Amino acid sequence: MANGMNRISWLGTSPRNAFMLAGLVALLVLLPLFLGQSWLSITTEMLILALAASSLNIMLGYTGMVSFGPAGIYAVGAYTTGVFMEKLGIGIVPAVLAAPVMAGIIGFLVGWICVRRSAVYFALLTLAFSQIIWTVVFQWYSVTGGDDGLVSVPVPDFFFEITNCYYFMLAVVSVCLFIIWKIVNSPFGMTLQAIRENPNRVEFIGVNVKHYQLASFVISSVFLGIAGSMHCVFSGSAFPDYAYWVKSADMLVICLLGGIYNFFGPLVGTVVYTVLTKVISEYTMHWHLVLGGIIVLIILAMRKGVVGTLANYWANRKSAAA
Amino acid sequence: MSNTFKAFGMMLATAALVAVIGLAPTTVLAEKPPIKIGFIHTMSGPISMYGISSAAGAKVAVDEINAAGGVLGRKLELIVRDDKISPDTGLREAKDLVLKEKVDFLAGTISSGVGLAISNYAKRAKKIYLINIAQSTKITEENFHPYVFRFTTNSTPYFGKGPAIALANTYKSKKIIVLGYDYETGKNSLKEFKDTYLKLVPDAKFIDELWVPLGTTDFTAYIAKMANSGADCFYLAAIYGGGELAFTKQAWSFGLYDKMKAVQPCAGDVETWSKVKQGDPYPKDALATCRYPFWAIKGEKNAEFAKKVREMTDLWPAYGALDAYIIMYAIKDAVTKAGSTDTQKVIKAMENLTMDTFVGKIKMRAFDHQAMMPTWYGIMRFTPDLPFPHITDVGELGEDSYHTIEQIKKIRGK
Repeated sequence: MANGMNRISWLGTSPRNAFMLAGLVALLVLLPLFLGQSWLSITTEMLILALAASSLNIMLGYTGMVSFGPAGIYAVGAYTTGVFMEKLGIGIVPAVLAAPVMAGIIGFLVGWICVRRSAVYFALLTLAFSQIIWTVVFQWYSVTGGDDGLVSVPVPDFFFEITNCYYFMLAVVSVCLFIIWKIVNSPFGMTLQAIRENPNRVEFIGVNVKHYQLASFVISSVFLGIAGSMHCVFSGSAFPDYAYWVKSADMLVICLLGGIYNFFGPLVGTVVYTVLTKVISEYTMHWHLVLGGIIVLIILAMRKGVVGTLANYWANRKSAAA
Repeated sequence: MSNTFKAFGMMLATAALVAVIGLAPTTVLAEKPPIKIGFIHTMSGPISMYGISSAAGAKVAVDEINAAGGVLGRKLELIVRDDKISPDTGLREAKDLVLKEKVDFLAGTISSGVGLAISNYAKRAKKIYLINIAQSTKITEENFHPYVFRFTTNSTPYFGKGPAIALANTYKSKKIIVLGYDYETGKNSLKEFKDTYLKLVPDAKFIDELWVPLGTTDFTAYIAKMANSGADCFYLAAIYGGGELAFTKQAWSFGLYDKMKAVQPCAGDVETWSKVKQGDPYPKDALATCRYPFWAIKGEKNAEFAKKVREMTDLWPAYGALDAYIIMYAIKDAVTKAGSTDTQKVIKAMENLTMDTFVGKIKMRAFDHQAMMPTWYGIMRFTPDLPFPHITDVGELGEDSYHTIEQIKKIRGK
């Protein structure tokens, strides 16, 4: 790590990479033609979850801040859109646009306090704040619907058509991922990675580490807010579960599964996690046990996650062949 | 650079895998296709017994109906899915059942959150959804739509109004202290209980209300307060499951059940108490409601059903099983009456359904699509008939324990 082995590489412009990217985009665009509606709906959910996990990874993988509370901010996004539409009768466009703003504001307030501590104290503070958000959502019956959640968010019928919803989410998630990509590969993003590697040294060269960490927290929150809002549009509902620590744990596991030191880690992690959960639970009632076992094995055997391990493996093979 | 490149390869491979799984062929049956029922329930995790028991009840009915020739010459087919007590998963499974399995009906579930999520989807997908456990009145009151039907009690007869009538019929206590979980359901239950009880026993007094955070399991401080309050009865507002078990243990060791009468609305259902043996703490002499006291219902059909469920699951037959059984017969009756599975026709037929079941006549109330399922109540005791504590001196509550249509109009108008 220290020698920069895990530094995220630029996309590059080689014909092969361009070809692969074009292939992926084409595949995703053409997916509705050959994928059943049910799987298309699951893929839409995966897109949203992948965005949430990638947002978390700005903090986790790039800045080295382990947050146990991404679900709280995610729920802020979902409930902002949900409450605006269901309770206040505001249209979908402002309701969706308000989500990242609200998530950013809450992210700033929570982050401002949390970055004052590091490591395990930081993690516990984020957990505490997300549980506060969960409690507010769970108890504030007149606004959030309490434990029943918001269940009849008047999302336009356009989004009820799964193909439409898929393309919309694909567009939103692609744009967001592109922006995240740009951010983490900018000089700002490099500074975040330097902070992850050695915060003391970065402090010594005159960087205000706390400011950068807070910025990372807020950026991550904004995108988590978008992901939450998208989920509200997708399902026409919002539930207190979105803010619960279990949801945070899901996001963390997805990042670890895929690999936190690679931009594509959370994306692959999402696919692996969702497919594993769905397939295993079709075969056994004790899916918790099987899934847990597999996750433990993957994390023990592939410390850099699926993407990181495979990338290392190919790199080693290449250097051995050379 | 190569990391990125390989990552793309990996993503392509995974996407291809997803595509292949998605394309797996669905079986097509010849001639008369079955009537498919997508049954979504909590089949795994700590409360899986509710789902397992419900699925068994549904299966008993489907087997009986199919053995008797099916419905309009078509067999019933039950497809069971696990919602993992998560609204998201429930919604995902509902979509999968409607889009891929092309089910004609959706049914099931325990969590009201999951139920509301599926109900909202059913409304937009225009599929009939029949609920067999979820209790939130929201489903049939504020969030009512023509596609949702409930074949189980709701929180009004179960938590509030029912226990109040039962208390007025039995102990007629005058000085009541309340302990409840501090959230909407707890507060609503007490309001319902209090309003009903004070009408029936006007000289009764509610001397104190103690509210504890949801999920609390250490009640000792509150129990001491209750014991010294001078009350002759306590009422638990929406404290159920693990919380109720913990409370009962502590109240038992404190001798609270000897000091005053108890109203524990949820204690009558078998799930919570079926593992409690003679000598263990239990809600002694508490007044409790129950949604299927299989031991107290007369008739061969009841005994046969209880036996089948017991054999199938190794669980004591619970209301989830009974309600799921009734739902399958409701589908049969409504489809037969409608002469087809056309959704609008079936809705009309189901709205006017009165079923003759082994627990009595059950009427569907067209206004809110709430079946007037009976609620039973009784005093919790051990008897030689069963190895766990259960309600005895059983009484039955009917339509008067539900919200009236006028009340619902008021709630919806808010």
